[in-house]
Amino acid sequence: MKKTKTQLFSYLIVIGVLFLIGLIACEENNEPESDPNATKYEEVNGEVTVTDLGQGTGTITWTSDKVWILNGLVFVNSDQTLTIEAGTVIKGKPGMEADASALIVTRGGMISAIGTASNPIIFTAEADQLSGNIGKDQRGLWGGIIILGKASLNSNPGETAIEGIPTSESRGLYGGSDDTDNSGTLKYVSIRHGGTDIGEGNEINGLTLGGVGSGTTFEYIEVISNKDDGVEFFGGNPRLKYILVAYCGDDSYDYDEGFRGKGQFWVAIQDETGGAGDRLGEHDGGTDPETATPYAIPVIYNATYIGRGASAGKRVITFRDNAGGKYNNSIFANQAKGIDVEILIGEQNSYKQISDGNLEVKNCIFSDVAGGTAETIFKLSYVGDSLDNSGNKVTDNDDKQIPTLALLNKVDVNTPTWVAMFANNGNSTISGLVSATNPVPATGANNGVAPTDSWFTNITYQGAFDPGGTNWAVGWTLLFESK
Amino acid sequence: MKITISTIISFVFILSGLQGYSQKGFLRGKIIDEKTGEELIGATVVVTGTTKGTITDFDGNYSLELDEGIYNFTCSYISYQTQNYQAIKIKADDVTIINIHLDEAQVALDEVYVVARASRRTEAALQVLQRRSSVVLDGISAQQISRLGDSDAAGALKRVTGVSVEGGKYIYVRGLSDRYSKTTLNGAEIPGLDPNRNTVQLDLFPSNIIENMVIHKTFSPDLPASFTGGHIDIITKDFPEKYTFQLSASFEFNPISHFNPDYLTYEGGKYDWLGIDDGIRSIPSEAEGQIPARFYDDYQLDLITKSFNKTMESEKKSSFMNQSYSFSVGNQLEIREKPLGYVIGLSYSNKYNFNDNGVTGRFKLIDGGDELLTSQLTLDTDKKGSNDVMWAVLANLNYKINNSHKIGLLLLHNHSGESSARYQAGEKSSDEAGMLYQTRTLQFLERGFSSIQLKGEDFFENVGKIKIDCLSSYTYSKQHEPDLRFFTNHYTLQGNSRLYEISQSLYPVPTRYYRFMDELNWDNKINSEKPFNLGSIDTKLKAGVSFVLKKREFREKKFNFNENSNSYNGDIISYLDDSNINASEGRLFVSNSETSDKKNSYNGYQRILGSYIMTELELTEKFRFVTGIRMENAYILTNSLKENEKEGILDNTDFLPSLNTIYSLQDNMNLRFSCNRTLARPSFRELAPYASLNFVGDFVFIGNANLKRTLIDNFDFRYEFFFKPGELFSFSAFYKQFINPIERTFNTEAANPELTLRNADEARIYGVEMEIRKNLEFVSWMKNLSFGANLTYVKSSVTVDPKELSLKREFDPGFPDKRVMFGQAPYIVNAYLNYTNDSLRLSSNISYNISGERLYLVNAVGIPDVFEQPRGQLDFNISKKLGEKFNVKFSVKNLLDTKYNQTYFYKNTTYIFESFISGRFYSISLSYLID
Repeated sequence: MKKTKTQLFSYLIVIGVLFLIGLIACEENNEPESDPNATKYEEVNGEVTVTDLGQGTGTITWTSDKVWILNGLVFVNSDQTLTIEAGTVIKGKPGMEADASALIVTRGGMISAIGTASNPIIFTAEADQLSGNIGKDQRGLWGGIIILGKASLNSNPGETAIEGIPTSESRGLYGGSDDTDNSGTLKYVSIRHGGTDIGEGNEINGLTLGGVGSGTTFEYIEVISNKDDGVEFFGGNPRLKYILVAYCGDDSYDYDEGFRGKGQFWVAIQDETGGAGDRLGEHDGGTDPETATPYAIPVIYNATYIGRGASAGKRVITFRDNAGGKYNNSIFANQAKGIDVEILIGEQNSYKQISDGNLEVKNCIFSDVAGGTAETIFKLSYVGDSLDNSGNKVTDNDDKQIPTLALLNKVDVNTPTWVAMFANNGNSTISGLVSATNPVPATGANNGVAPTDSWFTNITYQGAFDPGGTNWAVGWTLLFESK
Repeated sequence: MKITISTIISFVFILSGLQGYSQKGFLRGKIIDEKTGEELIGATVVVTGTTKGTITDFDGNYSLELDEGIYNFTCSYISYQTQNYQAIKIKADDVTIINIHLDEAQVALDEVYVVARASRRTEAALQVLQRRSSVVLDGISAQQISRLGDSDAAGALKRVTGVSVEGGKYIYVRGLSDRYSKTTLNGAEIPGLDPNRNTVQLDLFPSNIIENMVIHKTFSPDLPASFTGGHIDIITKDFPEKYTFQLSASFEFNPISHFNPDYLTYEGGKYDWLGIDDGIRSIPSEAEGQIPARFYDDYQLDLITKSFNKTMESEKKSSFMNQSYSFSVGNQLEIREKPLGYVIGLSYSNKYNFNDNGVTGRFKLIDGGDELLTSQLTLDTDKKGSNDVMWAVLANLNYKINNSHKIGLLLLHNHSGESSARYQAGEKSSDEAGMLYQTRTLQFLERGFSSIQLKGEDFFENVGKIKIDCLSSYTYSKQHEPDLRFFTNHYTLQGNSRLYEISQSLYPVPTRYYRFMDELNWDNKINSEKPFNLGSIDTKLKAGVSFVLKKREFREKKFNFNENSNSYNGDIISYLDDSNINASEGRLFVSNSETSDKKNSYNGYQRILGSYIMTELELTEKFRFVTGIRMENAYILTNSLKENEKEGILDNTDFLPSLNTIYSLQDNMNLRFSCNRTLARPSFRELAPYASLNFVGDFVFIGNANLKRTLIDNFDFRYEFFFKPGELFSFSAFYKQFINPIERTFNTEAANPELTLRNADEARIYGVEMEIRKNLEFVSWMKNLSFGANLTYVKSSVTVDPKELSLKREFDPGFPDKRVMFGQAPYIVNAYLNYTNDSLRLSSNISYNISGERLYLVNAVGIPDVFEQPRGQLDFNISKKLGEKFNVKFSVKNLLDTKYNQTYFYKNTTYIFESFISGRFYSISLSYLID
């Protein structure tokens, strides 16, 4: 027995030692927390490369005597103001996804980029020597400009990360409850050749406005040859005048998440020869759910949208996902398909916005659009198909969904139809009114009804240009040659 | 590589020739305690009336070399009843096996005469293990695997109580997802090859190398603590008692997959038949460096774009049938008069799989009040062809230095290569009705690992009868996915003509991925065991330490193919042609993002130190009590190669107590109760900021550096009754509580839907399990039949992430705050019926298994979750011995041909997420067997 005890004791000691060996955990990870570095401004031969490592641009003026190079995502942080002098050239480095370059004004940040007609501010690609070395129609060479504000959205939750910026970057968040939020001023600004792929099917729009409030000023802005959309609105209620979107790879004007702003003198010109561009207007209401509030009901006067011609098969405008919106006194030209409004099995959808008075196309002229009749221009579309209880498709996708829906008692067939509104709202058709090279009608196009809202310029002509008058885009845009 | 294989083959034949030289025969076997099942060390076996004999070693094994003839033997051990065996025939060059169960002596020391019955390592042996084990344990033996006709470990394991298999590879124990199971090879850690999973792919282990597989369902401190559902130990064949030789070939036919002229494939390399890429899928050397952006060096950019191979589309080619071949040889040799056991196994299989009946759908809810979901994508054409090649080489050598010391060396290399081509087409209605979508995926997945295991077992009889075993296992593994190609486009109809387009804003442009994962695993452990007699109580004290080191490198490179405008006209070949490559004109050019590649590439380092102490107390004859504690210190670091990305760091020291009690109601009837704490750690991939997607158009899945480890408290109760050898009835009940379980959720802040992982507050599961195995010999006409069935019923619930919940409740105010755990099946049923007729030398088996619907995908707001539907599988096989050494087997798998079906369910309507039918598999195999 004594032997057993001795053995037990010595064995326990051995075990104890083994156990202790196990307990000794190596502590080797005590790396010092590296302080986020200040934004780098590195100047070589009059070119200043800006690299943001987390602290934003700072409150600073980018002067016109230098060329400013955006190296990656450069943010104007909250409580910072970036002032850009008239005539300043800002260039974005090439690269896609995590290497994309863009200027992002965060919530609470301010931008003051005020150019003049003779001295616009130009945002372009690094490779652009402004000598014509890069064709007007070249797209996707850098990112774009993103402005994020505190105005409300209808997305769920009401605060989201803007497309393409990882959620770990908190400066990418936008949305709030201040609809009069002011992010600054953009005036006489030309944004060129942007729209690089920012990851997994997202691209940067030429000008992205996320939750921007009505206090912000946008006037005389050109977005040309952006690979993705020209201007995309995510909620908010910004107001924009004199906007030219040309040669963009996707949609010219795109809105989502409950955009409720105002617009006047909006031009869109697609790249017919290069074969690029999807819709002139892609107008979505909500996302999840699509019927979220506030509804998207922007008011637009005096748009001139010029498409890619009949053979490209593209559409003027799609209203869907419960989007509303009111186009007045506008010209739509040169496109295979007209304006389609989505109708769905659910009660609330874009089609319903018509009868609710939230979706209007009034006093507009359709020049060489979709066969030139009310029936061919104003269409209903049924996006998506659903299965019935036996797993069969409820609808046949080609067309003819409406009778099925009517049978399902989801649509009141007696409400004034979309097609009837064409004539009821004073819309008309014509041929050869405008073209991509000459968007100013020689004459006519003067049957609009003047806007009542005082923000709008009080005129009665249709389209973005005074018929027979001057083209306000000449002189400071790339499309109509500046320098 | 061919040289290596032929060298191995000739080596094998040399070894197989060795057995012809001796003129003597052997008597071998194992002696165990009938009651406890423990091996008896130092028991004697002698030729009756002579001094010729031997004693058992510390594994209870004995081996006696004798001239040909007929002998009587006596087996004895102190305080046990002596057993006599009469007229045992020993043949030259042959081995007669007698496994002996000795009973403790009763009052009178009688001698017992036993009619000798040769018994191989069978499920009965596994059952002994099961009965004497201190933990709840289930298993499957080589014999059962061969009877059921399963070709790999994954197929075989799905027969075990509470086990289901997902995708032919991943094990779910008690319906708990693979996160909660752990697989070891002979007790050593082996790496999981799929970076998106935290478990081992079990299809990599061909059944001819497996001796048995044991599933521990409760924890004891000598096991690694990172399992909750089950710890699966794959035990390879090691010490054969006699010469065995097996060569078999089998051919399998499936009407959909084989000899089908529509089978999809794409051009591969010379060594695809070995599952090895010959370099045709490598990154072109031109594209290794930095790729210039347009307008910087367009000449160089064009050269790079042109350097990629042009195949991005599948081609039709007739497929062959499935073939598989296996070979193994084993024997004992005498080296310096001590036995050296060896087993060498080789296997090769080449399988074709095709189905063209797939349907893929994506749906969402437009508004909370809607009655129906709205389609976003309906791919009613879904064809996928894949060619899976798998081979394995195993050599296991064990040498008994003497009766107290044994060393073993295992060498194992597994390799698999899967080349697949998929074409999906249908309507992508999310953007516009009438938009017809086409996508093609070409993939090659090369997986493999090489493992060296060195182990020693020592018994120090004079030093307190301490037993020590140690193991050092070193494994290198890889999963390479070179040149994964996606090519997606859409078209709309305008009159009779198709307007083709590649739309970057709707789906990614043509893309090629190159992914390489390499991992090293080093597992070392020492276990010791010492018996004590504390008065009348037999006790055992066990202690050990372990050190596991794991290093992983994951690299991804991605290349996009862009254009300035759209020139795609529906012809992929002309689109990728050199004449269409011109960056300065804005035609096709390649681009990549070094920073994104860096972000998606990561290094992982994991170090786990474990130590334990436990004791086994046999308080009374009937009551055993096993308790102890394990300490694990784990340090895990995952860092992305991109600077400033958050590192995933886990550094925990956990104390994991365990208590197992076993009360023997009778010799063959136990009541067990156990409670213990275990854990589950996130994998490297889950901690890395790596974003990946399954196929074009699906949600991105991204890791989370903030994950914590999960602690689980487990409670198990089990009643088991082994009424006859090979027969049993058991009933278990269990309850598990999870603290911080890692669950899938939606990243609510992301602009586009993005899946990620979060630690939920808590989860609970509880369930019951039942198993019966029974011969039907009590009914005379059914005397050749036996049947078995097992059933597991589980309920689970986990709290839904509060952010996700609040969003989902805006849509659906009734959205429940709890859901089933990810991957958790509510029930699992396995059943089989065996027919064995020794006189006809015929055996047959019919088996069925099914598991209930499991959560497959947690979805975004407005999209119901996706569940995988139950899919009952009925298999049948029949085999017959021909002559002495041949065996022929015919089998049909998937007799019911049930649809593989993943679905959404919303307001009484079922919507298809993905479904296909795989068809029945008919196979015939012929084997030549000496044993």
